[in-house]
Amino acid sequence: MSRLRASSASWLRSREGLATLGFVVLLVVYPLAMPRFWVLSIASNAMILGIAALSLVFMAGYGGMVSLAQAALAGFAAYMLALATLEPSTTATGSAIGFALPALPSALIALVLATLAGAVFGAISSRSYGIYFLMLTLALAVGFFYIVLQNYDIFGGHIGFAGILGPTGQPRENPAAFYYMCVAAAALTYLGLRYVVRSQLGLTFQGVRDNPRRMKALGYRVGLHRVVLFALGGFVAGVSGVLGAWYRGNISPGIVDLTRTIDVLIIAVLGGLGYPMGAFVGAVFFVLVDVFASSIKIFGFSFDERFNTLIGLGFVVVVLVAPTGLVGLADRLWQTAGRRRRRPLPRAIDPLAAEAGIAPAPIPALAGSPEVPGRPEGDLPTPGP
Amino acid sequence: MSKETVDFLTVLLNGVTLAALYFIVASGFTLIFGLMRTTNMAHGSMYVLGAYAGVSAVTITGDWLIGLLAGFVVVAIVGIVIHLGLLARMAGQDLRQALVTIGIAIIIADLALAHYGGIAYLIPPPSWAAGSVGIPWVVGGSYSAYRLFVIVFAVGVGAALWLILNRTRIGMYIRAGIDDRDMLSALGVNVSRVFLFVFALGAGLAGLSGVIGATGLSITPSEDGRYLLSSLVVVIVGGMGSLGGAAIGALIIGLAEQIGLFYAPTYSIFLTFVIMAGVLAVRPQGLFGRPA
Repeated sequence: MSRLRASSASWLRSREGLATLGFVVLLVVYPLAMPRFWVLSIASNAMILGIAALSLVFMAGYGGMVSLAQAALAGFAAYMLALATLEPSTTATGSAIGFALPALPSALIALVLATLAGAVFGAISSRSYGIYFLMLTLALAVGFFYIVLQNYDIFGGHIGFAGILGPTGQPRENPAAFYYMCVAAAALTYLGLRYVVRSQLGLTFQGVRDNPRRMKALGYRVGLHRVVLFALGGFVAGVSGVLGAWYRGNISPGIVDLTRTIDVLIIAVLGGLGYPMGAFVGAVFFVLVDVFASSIKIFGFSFDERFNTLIGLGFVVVVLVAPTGLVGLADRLWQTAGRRRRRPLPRAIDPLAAEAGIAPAPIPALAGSPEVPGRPEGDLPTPGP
Repeated sequence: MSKETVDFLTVLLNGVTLAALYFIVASGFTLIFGLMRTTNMAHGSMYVLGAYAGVSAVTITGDWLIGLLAGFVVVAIVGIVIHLGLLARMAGQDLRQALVTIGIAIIIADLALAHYGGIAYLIPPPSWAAGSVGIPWVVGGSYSAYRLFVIVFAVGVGAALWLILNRTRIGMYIRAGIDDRDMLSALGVNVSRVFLFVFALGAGLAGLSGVIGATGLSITPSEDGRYLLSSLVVVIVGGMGSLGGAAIGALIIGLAEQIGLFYAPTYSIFLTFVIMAGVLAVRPQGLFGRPA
């Protein structure tokens, strides 16, 4: 940290510092220069989706847990927000739940509950690894969708809830304020996760990812760490869910259906499972394709109404051709161009690329070589007292 | 008999019927997973595809059995194309295969929506299974003949799969492949052909069950999620790759769903998931699964 502080002045003058500064300025100026549609439907929407994808990238890259439950956890937070914030009488189905709390305390409650829900999902799935984990989280996500759909007492059934207002009021009336809130949330979650992966806890997560058996032998409670990681993922997904509920103003089972679950996965893979920033790159790309699908023509075939076909095809192509995602692709081009990228973060391991033999794979769960490629050496944390 | 008893027995019978359908769907899923470690996330979409193939075939020919055959054959062919074109190229990369099949599932669902629209189709049951059979201990004193046929059919499918696996040469290869793929290959068996056979069979079973389901219930493009979920839960509870596990898992889930629907309609899915979580807490590999 001290090194960082001492060099911050020169860092600002370096090329990378200038680029970051320019990016921040761009983010700040953007809503002042762009029409409302671009501020809300493109940028804010992309931030919200990006945060959900970020939670998946974080869990996949640093915990080896490719969770398909992130959209469900985001949706859970949205529902909890609605229950906390709405008047009891505003529920469409006449159920009398609703606590009429102000927006921010409601959001806080929703985030706490989403974190707990993440821990519960984690407890159910902490002993499952790899593809089993994927299937189990998918089952939990789809199951949550059906619970929401058929339960009218708590979740309002297929109607859901309407009239959810955020602290900035209607997004349409004050797009810039809503946008800044989304940017702030995205930045805070991103930087927060960066901090976590550098911390001792984060290194332990990576140890659990790379070699659960050895970590167990060192005295760590592997299952507990996976539960905590899932809870953190639930929190980040919850941030996305709360913002999404404020953005739309209403929620229905559609926000946790299979399509939504898969959208989050697609965004994460599109950006690259090994790159936290990729979540946002993937989200921007996804939203742009979503909005402009009607004007895309391939071999004279218009995707006007067939957005999902386009997305499905694109997803298959990305998984086949570029499993490291767009950021991974750019990263490789950058490196072949002879520029070495500084790696300030402990390396996230992209499970998809590792499988395809492109990225270093976590060593299998057998006791063995002392070094794990890509992991900083020698700082395996010592077990606590 | 009291009304409560009759209600309960009817719910049980409904649960067994649903379990029969779930078993046929999940048997294909677990067969593919057991041998190849391929998680076919498009399994629910293949169910939908088979159902629509059945709808079209029955509309054209008017013969239910041809519809059933069409569901099997069409989806088996689609399965062969997907396997040869995509999955066989990434053998052993199970995450990548799962993601690719998710992409395929999206495409199939969207194209089905484009061609058949969002309305629900219902295939009329064959004439020999129309009407109802008198059973004194269910509500109304009679039960749909077609539903009873589904139970018999599922038992038949289970028996046929058991015979294929245990009494034929290819079944021997499949069982050997589940245990040790490399050794089987070293013994001179063309493993990729065995894989292709199993994938086509598993996909075909999904298509076949689509026709069965579209006859008893109905079919819309959004049914894929429901049957993917049921397949996942059935094999998670029963154990991946085990046919017996799929049967037990399907029974548990089918009964839980119907009992839940009758006694606590808005919480029925909870029951299913409590069972799943309970099984995983005791046996992470499922009831009949072997440790991974």
